[in-house]
Amino acid sequence: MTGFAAAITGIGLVTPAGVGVPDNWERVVAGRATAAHAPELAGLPVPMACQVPGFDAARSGPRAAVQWDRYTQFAVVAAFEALAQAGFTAGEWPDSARVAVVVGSGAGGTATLEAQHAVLLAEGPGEVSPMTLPMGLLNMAAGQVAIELKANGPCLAPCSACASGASAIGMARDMLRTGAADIVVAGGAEAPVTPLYASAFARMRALSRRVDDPETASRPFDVDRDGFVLGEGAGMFVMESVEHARSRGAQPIAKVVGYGASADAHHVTSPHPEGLGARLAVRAALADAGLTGADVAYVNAHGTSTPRNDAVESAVIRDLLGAGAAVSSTKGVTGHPLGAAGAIEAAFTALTVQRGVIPPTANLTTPDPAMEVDLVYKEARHGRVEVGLSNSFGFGGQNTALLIAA
Amino acid sequence: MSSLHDSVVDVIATRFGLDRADITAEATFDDLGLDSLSQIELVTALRKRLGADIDDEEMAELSAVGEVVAALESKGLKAA
Repeated sequence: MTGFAAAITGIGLVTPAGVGVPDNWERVVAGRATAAHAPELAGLPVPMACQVPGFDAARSGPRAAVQWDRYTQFAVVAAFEALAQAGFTAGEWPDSARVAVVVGSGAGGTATLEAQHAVLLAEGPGEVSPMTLPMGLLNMAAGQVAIELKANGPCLAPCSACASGASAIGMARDMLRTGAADIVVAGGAEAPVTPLYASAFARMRALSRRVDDPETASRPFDVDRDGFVLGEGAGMFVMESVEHARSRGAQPIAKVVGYGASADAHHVTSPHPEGLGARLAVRAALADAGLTGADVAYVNAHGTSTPRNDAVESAVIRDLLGAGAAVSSTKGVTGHPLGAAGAIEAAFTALTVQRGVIPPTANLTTPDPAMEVDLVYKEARHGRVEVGLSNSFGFGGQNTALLIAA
Repeated sequence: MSSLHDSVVDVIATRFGLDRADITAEATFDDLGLDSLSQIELVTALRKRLGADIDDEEMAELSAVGEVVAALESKGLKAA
């Protein structure tokens, strides 16, 4: 391993599996699915989703409940969890200008934008809320996290659709490597369980239609998979150089040791039939880390549960890593939280590396015989994982691979 | 305090998730953390909830809760 190692010293998770790392880890290791009927989507073609349970919108204060979009609420709660674990306190930085924030999202504050567009059409322009853009913009989770943390370093919101959260973590590592920051709070946030997003994905036929049995709908790599289930949430890391962590006595949970990114340059939504871009991203991450495919013991797959993604991704994994890597998708539990997925799954990969437990793929009962990889399903697998790979592929053909090591 | 005051306090508390006890007549927008965008939102909320005839420019001239109540009273508005 020769690449730059960025230490992960704090993790925050807000997902359909729970609020906080302990609840999340318990549920993904148990492989208990979260998809259910979604009252917000009643009357739409696919009225189900994976939603964060019992999330208190006022958790970050009463103003947060009314003046932040839900995706920003998720981001801030996850950021504070990561910060506490890393042993930092908001505003008490050695040099706040050296603290960066990178929070990716695919949809930004779409719930806010959809609601205010309805106001515009029904009541006219004079009734549109002046908070529409402060709540709705795609960079506002990043902006609000910086405000709450009093972090004055670079603040960015990368968008690569469903790879956004992973892109943020890769960019954060680059910022540490180039010396642009000493500490980066990085991840992804998404709250797309809205009428427009649910309708649009349904029209693309991207969603599972198992509406009569939602709990079994997200079933990555299963022969009967028929689409993804809309999810939501946020995943956040505190990252710093290994030396920086050591100098303050912080123990890394795991390290981001490789980052690869690519474009399919093929089609806006359909993956390249041979997974060209996915291959390029995984190869670039391996080269960046100074590793070979045989070094990777576990893949937390993008594994959306769509027929096409899982077929192409498993072929890429088999070709580049061989048959030795264990593969699972935590989307069987969480559904697909779009731009937050890459960060949430990087967090699960880091926990796998730290704890030596590979979460099973929920709902995977009959592996698709075309998937010639070592799928982990039915129950968690225990054993040391030195290096894990987390894949994220976004619409636009935008691909990200992160290598995470002990 | 007038019942109009209570109505205005209710609108502010509901719209911005604030504690009613903090919304005194003397409390300024700054005290309550209500920036210029929040003041525009307050105009909309007062119009919708109380039928208040006040616009963004008039609101921008005001700085405290008591002044908002007085401005609405001068326009002949009664409590909701």
